[in-house]
Amino acid sequence: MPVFRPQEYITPTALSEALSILQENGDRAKIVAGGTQVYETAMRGMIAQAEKIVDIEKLGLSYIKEDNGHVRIGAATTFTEILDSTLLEKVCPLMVDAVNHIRPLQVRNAATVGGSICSGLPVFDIPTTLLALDARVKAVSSKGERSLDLGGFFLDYFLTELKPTELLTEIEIPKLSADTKTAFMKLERTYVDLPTVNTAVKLTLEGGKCKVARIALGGVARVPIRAKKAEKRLEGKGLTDGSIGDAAEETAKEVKPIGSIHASAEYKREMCMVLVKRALTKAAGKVSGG
Amino acid sequence: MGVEKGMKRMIKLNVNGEDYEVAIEPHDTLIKVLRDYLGLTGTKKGCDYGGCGACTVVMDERTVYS
Repeated sequence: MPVFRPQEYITPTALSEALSILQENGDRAKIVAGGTQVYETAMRGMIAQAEKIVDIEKLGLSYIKEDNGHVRIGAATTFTEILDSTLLEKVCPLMVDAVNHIRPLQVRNAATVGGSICSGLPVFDIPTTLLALDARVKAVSSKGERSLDLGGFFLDYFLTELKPTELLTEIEIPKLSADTKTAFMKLERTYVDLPTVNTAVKLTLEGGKCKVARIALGGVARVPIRAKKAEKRLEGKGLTDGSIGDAAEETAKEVKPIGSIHASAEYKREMCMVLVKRALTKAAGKVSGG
Repeated sequence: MGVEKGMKRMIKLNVNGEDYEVAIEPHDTLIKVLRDYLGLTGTKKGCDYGGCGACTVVMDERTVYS
């Protein structure tokens, strides 16, 4: 197995400094934030090409703020900071709900929202949640910046739209209208394990009917996905046991689960239906967000 | 193993009230520094990837894996 032996660990204090290191080194530079994922990735020999480790902890990327229409979360914001945020509790409780499902305190204290996205793994809870929230991410390089829809961001295991010269600096979540209901659910073997399947749903209501539905799932495919046919089935309908059941069944039909040592593809398909049904039911019973 | 070594860097850290100065390599983890460099073997290595929690320490008032 290729051995991880970087030559230098750099802690830049200015964004421009970090970006020029990335520009010069490309994929020979590896970004680290909380460091909960990078060590395992390194142990598995997957980033042996990395010569420089770029620690982004001192770039001022830990923040949660709002402006007209959006909630903005800095990429280096930790899960603990998400849980402590009274702003998120108020304007985007789904984020708090999802992070509450990530139990190890040691992970909460170190792992970051940006890292959770950039790891490019389909089983984390944050990417699924942000997909349901129609989030976008800001990718910055020395050459400029791009705003990317998270919907097209994930390409494959460990592979995202982000170029080696780019740093993900911010997550942008459109503010939820007062008539929006959300819920997060996951199935896990143990409380500290990664989920077998997770789901996040967002329902925007108008006149008692579901105007816009978002159903996102993780742990199912090679990337976090949305069940778009199921979303369509729900849109324009009232939130009844019938319409929720239909959407859950449609989800099970449209997903193409990959089996693992923890769960077969057939079992995951069944669980997609169960979890989506429960999440939609939970969301439907709640007012405004939470 | 013929692997090229990275640049060592001197760091200062305070462990349980004692100040230390130690030269570390870029890939070193906190548990390696504590156990192998400082000889403080009270912290244990279990799964070695941040799953079991055996290596837990309190760093700057935050409970983290070392």
